[in-house]
Amino acid sequence: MKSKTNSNSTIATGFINGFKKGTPIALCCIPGAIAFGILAKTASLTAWESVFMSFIVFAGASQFVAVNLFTLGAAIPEILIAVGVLNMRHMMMSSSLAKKYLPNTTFLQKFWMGFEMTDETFSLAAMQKEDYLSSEFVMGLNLPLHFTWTTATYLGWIGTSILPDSVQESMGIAIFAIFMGLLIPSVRKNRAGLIVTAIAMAMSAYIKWTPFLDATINKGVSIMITAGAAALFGAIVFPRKEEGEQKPL
Amino acid sequence: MTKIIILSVLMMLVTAPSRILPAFFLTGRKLPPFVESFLYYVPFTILGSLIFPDILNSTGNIYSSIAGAAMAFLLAWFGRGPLLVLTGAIFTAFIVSHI
Repeated sequence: MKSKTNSNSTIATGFINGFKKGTPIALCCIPGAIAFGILAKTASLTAWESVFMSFIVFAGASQFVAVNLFTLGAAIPEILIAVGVLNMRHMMMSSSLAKKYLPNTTFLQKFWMGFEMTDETFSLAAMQKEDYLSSEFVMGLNLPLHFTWTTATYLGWIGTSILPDSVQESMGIAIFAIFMGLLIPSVRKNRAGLIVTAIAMAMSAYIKWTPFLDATINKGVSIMITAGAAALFGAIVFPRKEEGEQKPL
Repeated sequence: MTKIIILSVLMMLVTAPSRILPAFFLTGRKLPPFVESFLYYVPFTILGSLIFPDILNSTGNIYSSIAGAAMAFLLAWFGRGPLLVLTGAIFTAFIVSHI
């Protein structure tokens, strides 16, 4: 099987390529990080605590939930369970992405690539056309988001919202537009991919629009259930042939 | 060490392994075809679940969200680059929220 990677001749160019690809998605997350900074401040976290949390936890939804629960006076184990459940979906993403890591990736590289993986950078990395991704490319891709997430948390805490409210509201669609820009070109000519995507969307809407389910299932679990079931459906109904027959992502 | 710092460290200990461990166990490993198929479809379905229906509330106004989403869909379908999809969606949502 031909193992095409996107690593160019040197480590530096691979890293820079990744960095360039990761920058737009990192900019999209600035409003979210600012919002977290503002929330953290209203929950009376110090600037240092807020930035520390953004840096080492680096999981948007989990941080919002944790700070919310914290202000409501929830116990730490309770918060940890909520966060753990919310993040289980990352196991599925990381497993899927691990298939694109080169076999010779070192311990530290695997550790850091895993640590910095998020919904956004996973989507970006998984939708690259190459069969394999070099670790410097993936690390270059992850870094801008980690950096802007942390610094914009600080900006939000300080209370400097750079953009006017009306623009910020319209910016809410940014991350979804990026997701569509990644998804649609790769399912356009892939019937099986298109069908499983539509199933995942329909199930996710069903949960969201059924008040009882929406109240009992948090977003992380909903993603895991709906994406998992739709992928399972794909694996059963459209099993993939042996390597090379179908074009990989 | 404040309570928040301790909480953050514990949160990291809960969230990080779910992202890190698969990189160790699955990199370069051949899995049964069924599991490979499943993992192949995961990126599509995750994106599907992430996008829909949350995109409809993304701007705080359903009409501007739908307009922005439609613009993003069209631009992406006709093969425009990510930057145009992004700016097209934001611009459309912005315009529609002002009429």
